[in-house]
Amino acid sequence: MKVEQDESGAVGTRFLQERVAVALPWIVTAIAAIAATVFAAAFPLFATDTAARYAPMAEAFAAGNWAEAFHPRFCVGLSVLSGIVCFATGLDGYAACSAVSTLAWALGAPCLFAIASSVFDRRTAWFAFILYLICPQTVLWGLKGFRESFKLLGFLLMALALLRHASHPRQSIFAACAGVALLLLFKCDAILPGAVFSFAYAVLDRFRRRTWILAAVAFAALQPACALVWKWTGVWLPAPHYVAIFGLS
Amino acid sequence: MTTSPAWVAVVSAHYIVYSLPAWAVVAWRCARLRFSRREIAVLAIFLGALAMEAAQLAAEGFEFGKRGATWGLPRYFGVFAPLLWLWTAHLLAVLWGRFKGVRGVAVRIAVLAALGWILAMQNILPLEKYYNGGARKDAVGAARRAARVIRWDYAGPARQERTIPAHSEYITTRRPVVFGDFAAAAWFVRGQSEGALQGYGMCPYECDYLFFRVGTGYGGVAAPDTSNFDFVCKIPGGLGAEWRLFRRKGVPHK
Repeated sequence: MKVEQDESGAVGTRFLQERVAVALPWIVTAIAAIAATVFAAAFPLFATDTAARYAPMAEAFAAGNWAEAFHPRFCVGLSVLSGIVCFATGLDGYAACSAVSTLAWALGAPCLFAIASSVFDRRTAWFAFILYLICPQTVLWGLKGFRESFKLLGFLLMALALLRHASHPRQSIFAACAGVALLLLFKCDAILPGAVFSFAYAVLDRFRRRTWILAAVAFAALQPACALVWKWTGVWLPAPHYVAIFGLS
Repeated sequence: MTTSPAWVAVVSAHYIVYSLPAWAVVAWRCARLRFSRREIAVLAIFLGALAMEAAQLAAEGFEFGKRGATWGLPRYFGVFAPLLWLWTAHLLAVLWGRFKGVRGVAVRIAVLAALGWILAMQNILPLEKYYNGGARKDAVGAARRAARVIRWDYAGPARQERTIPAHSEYITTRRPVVFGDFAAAAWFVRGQSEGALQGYGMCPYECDYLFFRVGTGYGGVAAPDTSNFDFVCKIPGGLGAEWRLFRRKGVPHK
């Protein structure tokens, strides 16, 4: 009887340890995300791009001024997200951009952790996680309210989806859908990588059911950008620089 | 403004403190034939993303071999760097677990010291300087003060008639249009920043206020032509540098 109790206790402790080990990166990420997002909203770093474009666009979105809230060169993602934050919290456009961008930066940490776990081991994953969080370059993009944080998050999600396609198929399709949506909705220069990585995913999936889910998400995510480019240039393409590249302007 | 060849900016975009050890580990593992299939996949994703980014820039006319302004490149190419840093993390993980006894403790202390140095000297200290010292704080302080002056002084319309702008740049209808050494200055007035547009030569609006630092220019606009402008006032910067505010002749004011 005593032995059984000990065994069940040991199993219980081990179960708890395993749960904590799985949850720990997410707990650290949540703390880092909340702290960094609040810090970014309170003390944004002033950069020209955000001051001249993204912040006025966020405020225009919050005010319902659609003509100024969107521009084909900058996709729709940041305007919508920061505009919603602006509207819901009363923060100014700059603080809203910095907050959402910093949040996206923080969410990249568990993605890198998962990638490192699947390529190397858990210890490497923890070091990758720490290196990412203390890197001055990536956090600055968040504090300045740039869209690069979203591109980074989308890229990491797509990489995770490709690497875990065989071992975690359900997780990988969620990662792929989120990743491709981020890549297509936030930066024009991320559309090509988004399309190529989606195709790579489809090849790995051998064009089965999940491929079509991903294709539907990608198609839907492209439409707002296409509509904007069409409004400005009369051409149904996802980015204005494609208009120039294809000689359609 | 950086004028190094573009490839230097591309390499430094991956944060050299992490990327140099990472490339060394990649080379070492390749040489020892220890590169796993998953590592090959990660490297292929990383290099593929870089190649696509470079191809898009090249298609738009950017010349990588030329010396020139490369300020935007770290943002374009640095995004993919975290995948490269996996090998830096692997190096640290191997160092952390390989040695036993006193040597092991020493190595772990060295690893922690390296991480501490990165956090303190590369992250917190520059951020602290960014907020509390240097030209940026001076400019932000001056811009806040200038915004108060402009809001009081400006009597023109807050908006102007909308013109459909060129699709390659964002332009609001907000007024006044503020241009100067610190391009973000217009934000504090909630006006239109001409700074981002000036480089493209496409701003359709005339600048209402000029705002720049005396002496060396903050953002490369050392001596703007003020012949068509009236002097409004001197403005002290956040760290005491002298800035000057000019209003275009004919702009409605109090």
